[in-house]
Amino acid sequence: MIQLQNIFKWINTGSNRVFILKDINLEISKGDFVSIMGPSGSGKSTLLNIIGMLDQASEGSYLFNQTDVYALKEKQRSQLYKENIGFVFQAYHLIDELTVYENIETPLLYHNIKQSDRQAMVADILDQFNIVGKKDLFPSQLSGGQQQLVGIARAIITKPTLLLADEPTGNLNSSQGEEIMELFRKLNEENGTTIIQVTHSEKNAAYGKRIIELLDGRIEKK
Amino acid sequence: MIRNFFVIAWRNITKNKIFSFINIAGLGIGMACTIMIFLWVQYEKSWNKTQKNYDQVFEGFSTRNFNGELSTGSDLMFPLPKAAKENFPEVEGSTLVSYGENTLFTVNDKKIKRPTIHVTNDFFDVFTYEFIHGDESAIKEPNGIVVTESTARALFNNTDVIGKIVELNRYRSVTIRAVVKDVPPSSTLLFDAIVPFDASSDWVKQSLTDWVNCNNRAFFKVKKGTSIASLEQKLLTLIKKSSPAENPTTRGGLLLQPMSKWRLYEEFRNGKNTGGRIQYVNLFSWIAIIILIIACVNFMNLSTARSEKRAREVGIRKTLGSEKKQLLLQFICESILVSMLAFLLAAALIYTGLPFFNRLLNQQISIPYQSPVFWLGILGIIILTGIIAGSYPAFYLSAMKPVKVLKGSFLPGKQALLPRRILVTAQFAVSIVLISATIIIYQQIRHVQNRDLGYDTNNLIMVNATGDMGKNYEIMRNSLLQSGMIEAVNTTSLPVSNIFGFTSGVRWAGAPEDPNLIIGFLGSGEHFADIMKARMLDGRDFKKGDSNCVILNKEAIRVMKLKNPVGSTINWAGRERRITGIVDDLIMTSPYALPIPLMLAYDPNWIGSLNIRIKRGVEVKKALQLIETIYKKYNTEYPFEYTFADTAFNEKFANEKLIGNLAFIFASLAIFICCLGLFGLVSFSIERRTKEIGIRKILGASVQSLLALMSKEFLLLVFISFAIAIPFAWWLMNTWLSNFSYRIDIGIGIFFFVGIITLLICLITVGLNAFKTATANPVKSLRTE
Repeated sequence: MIQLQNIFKWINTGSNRVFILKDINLEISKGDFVSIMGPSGSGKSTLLNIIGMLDQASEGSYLFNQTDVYALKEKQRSQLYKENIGFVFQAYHLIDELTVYENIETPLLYHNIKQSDRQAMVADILDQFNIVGKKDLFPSQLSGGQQQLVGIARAIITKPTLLLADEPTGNLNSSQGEEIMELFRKLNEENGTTIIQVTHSEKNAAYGKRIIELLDGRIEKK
Repeated sequence: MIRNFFVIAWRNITKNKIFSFINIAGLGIGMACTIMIFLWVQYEKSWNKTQKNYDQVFEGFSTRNFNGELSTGSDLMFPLPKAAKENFPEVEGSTLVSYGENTLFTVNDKKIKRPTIHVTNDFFDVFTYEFIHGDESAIKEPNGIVVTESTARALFNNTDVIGKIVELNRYRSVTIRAVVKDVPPSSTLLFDAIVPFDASSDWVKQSLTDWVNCNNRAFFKVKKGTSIASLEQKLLTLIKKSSPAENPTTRGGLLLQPMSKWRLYEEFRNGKNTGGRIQYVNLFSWIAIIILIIACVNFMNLSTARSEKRAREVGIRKTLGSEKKQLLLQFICESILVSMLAFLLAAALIYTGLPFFNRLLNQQISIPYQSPVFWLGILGIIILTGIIAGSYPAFYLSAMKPVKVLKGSFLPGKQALLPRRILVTAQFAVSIVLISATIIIYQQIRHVQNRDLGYDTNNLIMVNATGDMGKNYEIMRNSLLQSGMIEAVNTTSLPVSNIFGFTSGVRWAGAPEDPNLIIGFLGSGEHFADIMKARMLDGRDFKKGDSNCVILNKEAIRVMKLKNPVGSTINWAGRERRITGIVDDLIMTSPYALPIPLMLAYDPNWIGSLNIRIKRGVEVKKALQLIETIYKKYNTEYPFEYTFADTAFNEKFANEKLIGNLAFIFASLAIFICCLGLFGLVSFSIERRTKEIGIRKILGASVQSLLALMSKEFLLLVFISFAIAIPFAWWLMNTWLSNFSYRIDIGIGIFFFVGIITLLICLITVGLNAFKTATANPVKSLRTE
């Protein structure tokens, strides 16, 4: 599904070139559940963002489902992104001015889904996540764990083939974290969603089928 | 999706009350200004539009050389319109119309004065009106007149008045043959009755073949597609051919002015139509647009300054699959929503402000609720404002990169600082130009009002004098003077507030061969200089027993190049006249113009105006009562009508005062909107710097130094805008002032003054915000961080 070859990422600060990623070669196949680990500043998030097409590598090639991502035009790339990728963040990143229901509905708007279908889909997922009673609340009225549930619901409502999570449990306590991880496992096993998560916690990393360790922008261990 | 956009927009508006208030108030005031100005512009452009032959009617103007200056006037000769129609097939209709006069209508013992126009009987070939009773044939009868609905009601209490007989000015008996609807005030020809020229009068009989004297206006209805330039030539040739000898009119040029230009292009300079009211219409249209843009700029500035929060939303939406154009649409929707709310405010402002605006303009502008064009225009303004205000923030925000903004450490508000600074500077530059312009306009008006007129307008009353005045004048004068309230009384041929009569017929021994020497004239009884408190430079005032005497003013002596004038004689209107005195220049016409050469001719029986000066300290109301009683005693025929000379003089400023008032209002609003924007920006910047200010305070900074720190950035911007605005304001106002011969010079002091005002306003705006932060306990601000 994902083939990264000789990926480099650097930023120029003054005359210095600071490398964030160095020669990353990585292959991830459909249905995989990958945990990326490594100390702060090792490039985990950058790698995730590159895979998620939010960021672009400075050098190297990226094939997504056999399509050369960097050869695509902006519009085609965002189409590819829209159809395949869902994102979950450490800080949840819900829209404060929208209710739970509206937050979950938002991606469907961008996928041009009809009003009646949207209602059914949101109702379905609210039910599945057991948060029907919270649908008219605003994010500030929810606990962290509940907010992250909403975040995940929002990420998967469009049925992405690839779910990217950047420290999804970083702001949560351990029991909430476990709940989220169980959810991920279920998604991976039952729906066949490919998941890539960045995490600091060994315990959470263990939910993955494989672990990639990054150090100073290089893959240390696969 | 749009619904979702509006939902989030609404929640954002209600959440940030101060910013929303600033945006909506600014845009609302801006829109109200714009809509009101455009209503006015629309009104000005609608003049005469009720005329059916709008595109085909032209007014004749003649350009003549007077004392070396080209002057263009609409006065033409009596036989011209008729001859034009007979000679040129492209002239479909033509008519001669008087300049308008107040006519006394008498029906039994009811007497009222109404404005009328005298016309030739082909008037309705050119002009169209809505008839309630009767038709266009009314004035074909020698003594048939047309009255308006309101005149009919005033005279007879109803409109069915065909066949009723009315006496005009106590000498001419006429019959009402038609009633028309009242003429809209936005008409060049305003009247309460149309009266055909009295064909039996000697004056009209003589005028029929008089190709020299020009006393009336000539209008032509021209076939569509006619070449106006060639018709102008043909008319001039006709005049030359018909005139017995050369005169200023035959030597001059002829011009046909289309009806569409009558109202807005009324000004002629050096024989060319140079514009007129249209310049103000255009100027204020621009001001309207600029005010709206200033308000839009506030919106842009505040939205980009506050983008930190919205940037996160943009990032999230992008990761959820939003395309840039959907985000653009979202932000535009949001600004359109703000603009709609602003319109609600604007509507309330217009509704309450329009009567005031009308009073100020002395016009009757109304909101055209029924006009679909008006509502389309409103919709256009709302959407356009939304798009202008929202486009920059929309592009700015939608271009945010999700990777950057979602990291949390990013402060996007710091970006776009330069464009924001440029916008603030531009806003203030515009305000400074407007303030400077306002002050200079007021200074000019004051300067002219304080001009030495050569006579005193205070306590001077001009009473319309007609009828029996001549034979009872002496008795009246004596009873007035005996009352002790009146200082002096005199008569003149016309009110002294203007010069209506000009002559080129003054001859004297050794006169230069200047065919263009034109001198204003006014007939006067004795004690002219005395009552006017005018300065005699040489010789003496008129006194009882004089005959064939004239007084010339300084300017007349100058243009006639007379040496030792007092005692010498001139010839005018067939009589030798002795110059008894020289009076200092009197400013009777435009207070902005150079003095006009004037000849006062002594004639105690040539009475058009009774001039009365009330003694200083006498209660004007009482004096007026006295004058009225005495006037009525000796003039039973005519109603008592009077004007204060100072009021009449002040009316000459009406236009400039209006411009001054409008400039003042719009300048104030512009600066107010700017300050709203500045207030928002400052409060935002302070919000961001709370922590910094707390730390500085702990390190020992004083309140003053903190205030200075917070104001510095904005004061610098104001200073730059000042430097940009001043040269422009100077150039602009110099151009305006060049319209007037008598004018001020723009001094540096004004700009200095404007600079201080602007600076003060900014300091107050910044201070309102900054003071609270600077005096706050730093422990609090640091703890909440």
